[in-house]
Amino acid sequence: MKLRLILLAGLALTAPALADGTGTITVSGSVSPACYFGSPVATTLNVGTLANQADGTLAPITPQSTTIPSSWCNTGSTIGIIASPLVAQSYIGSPPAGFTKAVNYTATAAGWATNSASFTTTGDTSGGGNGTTPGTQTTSDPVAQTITVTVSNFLAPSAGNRLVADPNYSSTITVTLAATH
Amino acid sequence: MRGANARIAVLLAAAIAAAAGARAQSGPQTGQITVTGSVDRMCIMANPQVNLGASTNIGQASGGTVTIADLSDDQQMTTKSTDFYVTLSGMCNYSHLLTISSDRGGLWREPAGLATGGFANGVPYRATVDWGGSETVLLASAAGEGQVQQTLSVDQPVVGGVLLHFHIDQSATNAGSGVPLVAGNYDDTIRLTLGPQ
Repeated sequence: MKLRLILLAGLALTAPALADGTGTITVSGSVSPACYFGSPVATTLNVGTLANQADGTLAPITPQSTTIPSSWCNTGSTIGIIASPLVAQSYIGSPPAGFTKAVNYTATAAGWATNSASFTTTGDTSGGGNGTTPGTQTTSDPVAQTITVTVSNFLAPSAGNRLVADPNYSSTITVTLAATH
Repeated sequence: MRGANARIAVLLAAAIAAAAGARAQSGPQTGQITVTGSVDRMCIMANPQVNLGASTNIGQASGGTVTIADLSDDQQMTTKSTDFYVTLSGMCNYSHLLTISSDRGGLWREPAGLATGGFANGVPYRATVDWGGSETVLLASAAGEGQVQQTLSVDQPVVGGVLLHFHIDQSATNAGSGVPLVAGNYDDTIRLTLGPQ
């Protein structure tokens, strides 16, 4: 039995290379970390009339939301959100004592990480002095989700501030997705 | 080998597609949302509050009506000096105009009628309004019965009190200083308005 095996092995060594052969080709590729930010369903959130008609102070304002579908990051990522105060665009200069031309609020981005990223504006009565550090949340896994952006908790810089008249109070929310790996 | 070539081609195509990715990038991706709102132009004025403590010759004040205790001097039957102060809480959230007007242009007898010689039937007065750090004076001279008004242009929003000082000079009448007043009821209406310029 042992002899036979040796003979077979000898035949194999001398056989021509045209017989059954195998070749191995290694194919490799890579996928770079990337994020894609979808298009917001609504690029403008109009919160309507800001002032209480009875005394000119800030009226209760219903929170508003929009969604950003089809966003994804193919690796761990950080979502960040930052916003500017709502500021009267036509009013020039600082408002008089007792008035404000800026309204603060909280912007949140939910649906990406376990917790929502949020940022609360902290403008003074002219809209200056706002914070510069975005609110962030990080996730270690790839995510493909719809992001929901909500504005809420509207406040005047000081309680009792009256709002100057202006047909256009405006603010910008910036949401950022960044791969972390 | 043909099968292997096909497999390579598919894998390469997939790799290219993944790398290209529709607008996906390795750097941070941002999106912006605009938040808007508006504030209507508005002016508000509350009911008048009469400061009786600082007044002279005032009988009573109720709501928007102030009654002078004794319009005429008991001895000479001519006008007594009178002062009272009224505050109205107000607010305008834009550049605006304050208007003060007198319906009759003086404190006239009701009805004014004809003044008999040697008597007066109208009392001039002065109403000074302070609003937002500016002042205007309405002179209701009782030179003739009819509306008079004065305006104050304010180029910024104001919140605070509209302060009105009503004053009658001693002995002032429409027939000259010290002329006796015809008996009767005298009245006028002062209107304060905050509104557009």
